[in-house]
Amino acid sequence: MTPLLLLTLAALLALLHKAFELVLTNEYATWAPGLARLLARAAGFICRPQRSQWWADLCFVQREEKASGLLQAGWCFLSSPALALRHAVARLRSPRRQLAGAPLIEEGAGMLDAMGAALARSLGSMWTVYVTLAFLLGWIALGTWGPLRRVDPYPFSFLLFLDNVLFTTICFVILVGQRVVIRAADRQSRQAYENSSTLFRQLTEVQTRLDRHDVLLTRDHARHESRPHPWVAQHDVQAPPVAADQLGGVNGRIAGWITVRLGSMWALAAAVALQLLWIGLAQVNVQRFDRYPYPFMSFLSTVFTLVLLIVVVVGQDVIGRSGDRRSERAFLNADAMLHEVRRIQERLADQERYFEHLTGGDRPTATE
Amino acid sequence: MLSKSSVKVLAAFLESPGQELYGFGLMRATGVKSGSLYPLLDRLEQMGWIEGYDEAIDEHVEGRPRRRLYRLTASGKTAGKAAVLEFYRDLVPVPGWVLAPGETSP
Repeated sequence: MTPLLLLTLAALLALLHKAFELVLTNEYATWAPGLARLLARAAGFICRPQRSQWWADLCFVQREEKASGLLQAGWCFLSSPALALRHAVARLRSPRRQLAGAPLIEEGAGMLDAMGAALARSLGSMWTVYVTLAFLLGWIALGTWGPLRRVDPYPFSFLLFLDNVLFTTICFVILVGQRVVIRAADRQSRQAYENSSTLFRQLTEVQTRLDRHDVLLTRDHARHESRPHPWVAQHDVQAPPVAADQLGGVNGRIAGWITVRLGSMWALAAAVALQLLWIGLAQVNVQRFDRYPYPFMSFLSTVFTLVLLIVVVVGQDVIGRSGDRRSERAFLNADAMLHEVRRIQERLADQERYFEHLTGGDRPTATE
Repeated sequence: MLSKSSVKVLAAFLESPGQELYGFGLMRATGVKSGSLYPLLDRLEQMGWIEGYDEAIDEHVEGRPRRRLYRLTASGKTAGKAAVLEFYRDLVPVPGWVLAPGETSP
């Protein structure tokens, strides 16, 4: 390297250093607020729930405190993906997303369950139907008249293989969603049981106090004869209905075991990994038994999907039957509560009549 | 047991119990980064130790949006003080502002 080149490089470095110094220190007041605003905007775009708060804080800092807020905006930008993820998980677990009184994902449930619920929810939308339909029709059109004619002509072997593989995967997703729904329904049932127990206890307490009023008023315990609803006593000795109650016998237990095992995110991940591994091994010629378009994997997927679909139907039956039990319980609870409230109203009306009798029919007025 | 960040944030509130604080101000005062600060503020709010509310200003007059402000509640003052005391107990002498007048460090 010649001395002239070295000298030029040194001069360039010195110039650059000076330029940075000028920009970073002298012109800080010019560019820092702008950059801070840009970072706050970007952070708010990534984490929408915090957007207004960050923007309002930055505006205050820049207008009232005459500071750039660059450091804070920078931290907000860096932490925005993590905060966005935290908000997303919190929203999934939020009681606002309820299945008639119980969250789909309970507080403290695992991340896998939350992911399973999110996956099932996102797949179960009409947008997925439109996208799938557009993809299938597009592929068929391109395979018939377009550039895919050479790759995957009629009868679209690769598309069929893809369909089979995706179908198996979707079956697993359905099972995951089913398991999440069953667990949420069980929690809902237990919650409803606890709620109704509390209400029955409160109603019984009101009846006891009315008894005491009767005794105080007339020294007669039996001013008003009525019996509590028989369900009030039965309620406490009957456990809340859960899905497992519907799995009686050996077959039921086998169905339950399969549903629980296959309806987990681990089973879903294993199925996807196995299929990808099989394709990968075929592509790198490690397994030569089932090459593109993978007829054996397609056959296996089809057979397995058939079994999975029957498991799904079993799960649906269990959900349906346990739903019926919960509905019966809800009716009995409502009926018993209505009966108890009527009893209380009758007793209060009776006591009112007695008060009127005591005061000679003269109701006291507000001024008195 | 509180985390170090929680103690820093609580300390900022306890130093001036009646004062309204906001996110960026807390970040600057405590050095706690936004990734920890905002979940922490949410948690303290859920525990009832602080209360969050929108700033009462006319946005058109002030020319800026309303900030979310935070204030220490009465229960937060008592419980927060106890929690900070517990945190400092085994570490260093308790800071003067945590102790009541006449109270000495354990």
